[in-house]
Amino acid sequence: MSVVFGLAAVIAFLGALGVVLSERTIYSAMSLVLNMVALAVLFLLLDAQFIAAVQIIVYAGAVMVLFVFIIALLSPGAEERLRSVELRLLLGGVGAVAFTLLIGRLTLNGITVGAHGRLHGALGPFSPVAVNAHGQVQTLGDQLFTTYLLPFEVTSLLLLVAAVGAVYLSRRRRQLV
Amino acid sequence: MFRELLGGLRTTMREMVSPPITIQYPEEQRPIPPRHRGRHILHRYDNGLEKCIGCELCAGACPVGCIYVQAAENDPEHPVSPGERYAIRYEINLMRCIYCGYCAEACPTEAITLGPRLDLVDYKRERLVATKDDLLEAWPGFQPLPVAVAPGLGQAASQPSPRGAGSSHAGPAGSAPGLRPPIPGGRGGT
Amino acid sequence: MGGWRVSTAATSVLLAVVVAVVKGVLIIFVLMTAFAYLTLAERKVSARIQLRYGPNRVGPFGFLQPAADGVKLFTKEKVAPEGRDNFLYLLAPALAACAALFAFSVIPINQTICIAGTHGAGPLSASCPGGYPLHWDLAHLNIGLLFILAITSLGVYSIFLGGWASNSKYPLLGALRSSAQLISYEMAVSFALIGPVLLAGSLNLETIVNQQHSLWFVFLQPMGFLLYFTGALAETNRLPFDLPEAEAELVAGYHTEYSGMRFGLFFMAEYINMVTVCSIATVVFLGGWMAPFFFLPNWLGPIWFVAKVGLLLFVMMWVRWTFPRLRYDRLMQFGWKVLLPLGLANLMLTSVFVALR
Repeated sequence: MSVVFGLAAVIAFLGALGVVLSERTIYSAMSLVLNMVALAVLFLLLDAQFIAAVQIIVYAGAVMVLFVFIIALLSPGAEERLRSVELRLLLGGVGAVAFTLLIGRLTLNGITVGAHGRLHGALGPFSPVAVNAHGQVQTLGDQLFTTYLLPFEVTSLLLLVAAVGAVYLSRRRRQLV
Repeated sequence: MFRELLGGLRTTMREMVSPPITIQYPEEQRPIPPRHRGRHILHRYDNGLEKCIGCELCAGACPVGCIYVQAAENDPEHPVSPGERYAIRYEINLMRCIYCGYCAEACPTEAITLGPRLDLVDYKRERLVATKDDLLEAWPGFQPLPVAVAPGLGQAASQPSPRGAGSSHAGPAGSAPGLRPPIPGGRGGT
Repeated sequence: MGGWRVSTAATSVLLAVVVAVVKGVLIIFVLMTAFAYLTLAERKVSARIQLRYGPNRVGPFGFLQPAADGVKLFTKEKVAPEGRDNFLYLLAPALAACAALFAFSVIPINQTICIAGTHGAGPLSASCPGGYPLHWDLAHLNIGLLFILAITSLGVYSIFLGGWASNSKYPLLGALRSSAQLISYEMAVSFALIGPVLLAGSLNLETIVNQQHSLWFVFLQPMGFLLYFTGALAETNRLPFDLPEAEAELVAGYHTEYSGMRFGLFFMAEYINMVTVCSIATVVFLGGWMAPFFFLPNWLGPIWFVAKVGLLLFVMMWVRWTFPRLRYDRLMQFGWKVLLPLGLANLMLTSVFVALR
């Protein structure tokens, strides 16, 4: 399993590098797709198969397709950069350090070191064993329709508003002759 | 809406189970109509003399210019055709011919006609230039005159012609395919 | 992955790897051969519909025709447009073929066979305590159906990139149309597939088949089956939904500028997608490996599966040579205004039925 993890992590990292370092925008978008597929593999390793599948269906298969459409059809212009290199390095460095600290704090939350140097995470009521016993989709469905019902309904309303807005904005306008 | 869709599907299914109407050429062939214009044939009279008198009207009438005729004087003791001249070389480029039949209309003796043969295919271009040997009708006991033909010409669309002793198709030494060497004793052609 | 735990013993890992490799090689080999002979079958079926014979010169009944076609594709000159994006131009057919082959890896051809063990929890169970469960799919995922939807949504990229990277207007138009069509009909397909998932109570394809042991889902969900089949025709760009590659309008759509084996890969991806969607239809609606009538033997699982997939493929070809093409705007309207509401209605009815059961 660690081999698969290593491979997936390396691919995710390369994808992320590709996003930032690619010359052409469309290569950045495709690198992001690669990154997301690698993330899906990492989700699989965490026993979250539903999340992995949904990651690919929604992110890589719908959101990124939209991005790729826009990039390919609208040909966004050259990347805007700050003038001075020092300012760029400073801002980038500060951002990277802050981000690492935040992610580190969140990731190490509740992790204890056990025997043989193994890391154990904190197990709540939604540990992989419990979720798999009940069924992943079932657990998600239960939570979505009971505990998180209000956010669910508000999100669907938001999506409806977005859809209506899109239809309205792209309607044919009568020409004023 | 479903009725129309299913009706369409039923039509195609009916066609699927009907026997195909394809004719599997070359195992099965359609009958050739009597006036079909295929490969040319040089005819003879019943006594064996060739009808072609070497007048070259066919070559003149041809809109494409694919006929080459070279005439020669008839030897009085061994005439080839009834008349003064005969065609010592007669070549048709079957690849250029458009099979219009003008040559047959122009011929005064009905020597050249277009026959039923339509499978004129080969792998080499030279073999589709039909020579007199290919075009001439067969005649039992016929001995063709020695005619100098460039090697490789003809032979593809030829009818099986009986070759008696004394036939030679060897060109003059060093002639390339397509060149027309001069015939000793014959009149120069067009 | 899924419900099967990897034991720490090295031998079981090795066994798993070997079994997976064997299955993978078999699947690839079988799918490639199926693709080759599907092209021949298409030509023969279309010929018979048009009252002619189809290829019958190359080998008996044209059986070597796919080999001849393969040789032709491999030896063709590779003409490619100037100014193309070479990396994406080459990536697109490869991605298409990979996605098509990949999607087949979760489709079970037969019931899990317990080797030296007993079926846990009844003969239709997929677990095998005390023995080795031989699954007849390459990857026994608990979310098999979602996996297939995920991979088919990745296949959209190959079409779009192929068209865009060709630096040519007809492929670009074809690619746009095709991608939009694929995304729209993914909805119809997903909604059609939710019905059987509700009836079976699981996304695991083997469980779905097992739950059809009394009655196939096609009889419980006729509209769902029609919805799925129509959506599948659109997903694989088959007539009557093939305007993106319509010969008359768009030359050849997104694969215009591809020649030789690059086109062959797109072609292969389309036909293998056909096989995959027919296999999904078989597994989800037609009872997978189960015999049609109760008195027929059930142990011929793979044979029944292949027969059903073959029947559905024949119907796909039959439909192709029967119906005219849908115009593109009508195609989109059909997907959004007809199939999607029907799918929602189907879902509601099925949910009510399942809730009351």
